[in-house]
Amino acid sequence: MTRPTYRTPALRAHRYRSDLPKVVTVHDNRFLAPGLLEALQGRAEVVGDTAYGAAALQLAQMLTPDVVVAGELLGDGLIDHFLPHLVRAGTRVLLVVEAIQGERALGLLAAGLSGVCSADDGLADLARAVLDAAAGGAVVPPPLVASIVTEWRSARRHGGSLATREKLTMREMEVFNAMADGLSTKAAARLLGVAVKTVESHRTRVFAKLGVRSQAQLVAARTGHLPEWPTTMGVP
Amino acid sequence: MPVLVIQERRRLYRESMTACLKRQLDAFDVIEGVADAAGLLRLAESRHLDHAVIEVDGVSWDVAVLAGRLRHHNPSLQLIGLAASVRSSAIEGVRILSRVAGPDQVAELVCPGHAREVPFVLTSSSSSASSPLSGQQLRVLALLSLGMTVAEVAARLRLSEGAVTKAKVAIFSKLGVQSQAHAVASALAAGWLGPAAASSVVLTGERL
Repeated sequence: MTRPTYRTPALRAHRYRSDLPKVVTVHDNRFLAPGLLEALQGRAEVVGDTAYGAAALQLAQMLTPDVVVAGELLGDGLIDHFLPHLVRAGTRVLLVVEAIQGERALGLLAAGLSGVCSADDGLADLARAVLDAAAGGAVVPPPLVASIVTEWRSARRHGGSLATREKLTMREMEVFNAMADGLSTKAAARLLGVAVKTVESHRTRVFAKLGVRSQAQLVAARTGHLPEWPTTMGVP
Repeated sequence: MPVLVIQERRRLYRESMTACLKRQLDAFDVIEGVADAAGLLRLAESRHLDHAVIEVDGVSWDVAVLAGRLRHHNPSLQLIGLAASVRSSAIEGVRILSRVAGPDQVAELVCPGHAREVPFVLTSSSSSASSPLSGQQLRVLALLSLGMTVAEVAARLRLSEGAVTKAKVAIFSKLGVQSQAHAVASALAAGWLGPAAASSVVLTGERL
């Protein structure tokens, strides 16, 4: 059996008509961009396509698209890390999701996401969402709206603003910083001059307060500078 | 006209694939895709299929068994499998492509030399920070950084839990780390995950 070799183009773009909304896609499914182009039927143009977040940023700056259609998992990391940069580049971002919880969706919407489309919906639905987003609208699938509203209500109850989470104590902040640097509990205990057990109990509370499930998530959230995270809290 | 059908469980991707291949393979009758193996088998009972593009995920169904049952209806059926992991997916009588293969690659396998180009005329390549991690390993690490467990990552990438654990071990040894938090920290700092790689993208495109 022969296995054909090929390379995934990191970045593709093509000539476009200036009077139509411009779309850039960044997704690891290589059929999505040409499929979307077909479904748009001349109402908007797919001007660039890549599987990498870094290349998408480049395309967004180069081609100034009206909408970037993005996947969650890109060739060089999660959309979460690239979203703030894409938004800053002045484009609207529409996310194609396979499964997403209200909490994460809310975080991404707070970070500037314009809409969400389900991979279980059709190509025509995506095309419609792209045109809506290009016109300045926000698109969220109805099942997700319910969980976002629930999430938003609970965030309102816990302090009024979406970005406010429970504050960390000074000790927890120290443990948070050590954890976010990728230190093990043992190393953090040595660094802070406390018992491993103490670090462990602080860590449990830090995870609960920030709503993270693993240290790996904590590291990514801090380094990714997501607006939902206490990146600027520093040492009190 | 030879009949080609696509099996893909996500409707958006299924419709994209159908639309692309319809345009690329004009000598073929590309018919509306199906969601799963059961749907494909039902279709094979009611009409003659010459080519099928299927998902290989090693979790939901056994591709070798599926291939056998499909060939019961048409012994000369050509099968192309899109696999999450190309290396571990050798299956008798199924030609395997990576799941990130595009219309060009699939069309080329179905009909060598006759595929029409997709309508992009400027192709550029980027050289981002060269990562020691494979695409698969980067995907695993990215999902772990969302706080997912090994089981959740496996389900999301359609891999077995063993394959995810194996990828994790490979990541640890390549990065010289002992925890997944440390691995995420190293990969982010080096710019292999996330936007740090943006500045190193080089556009070397040419107009065709």
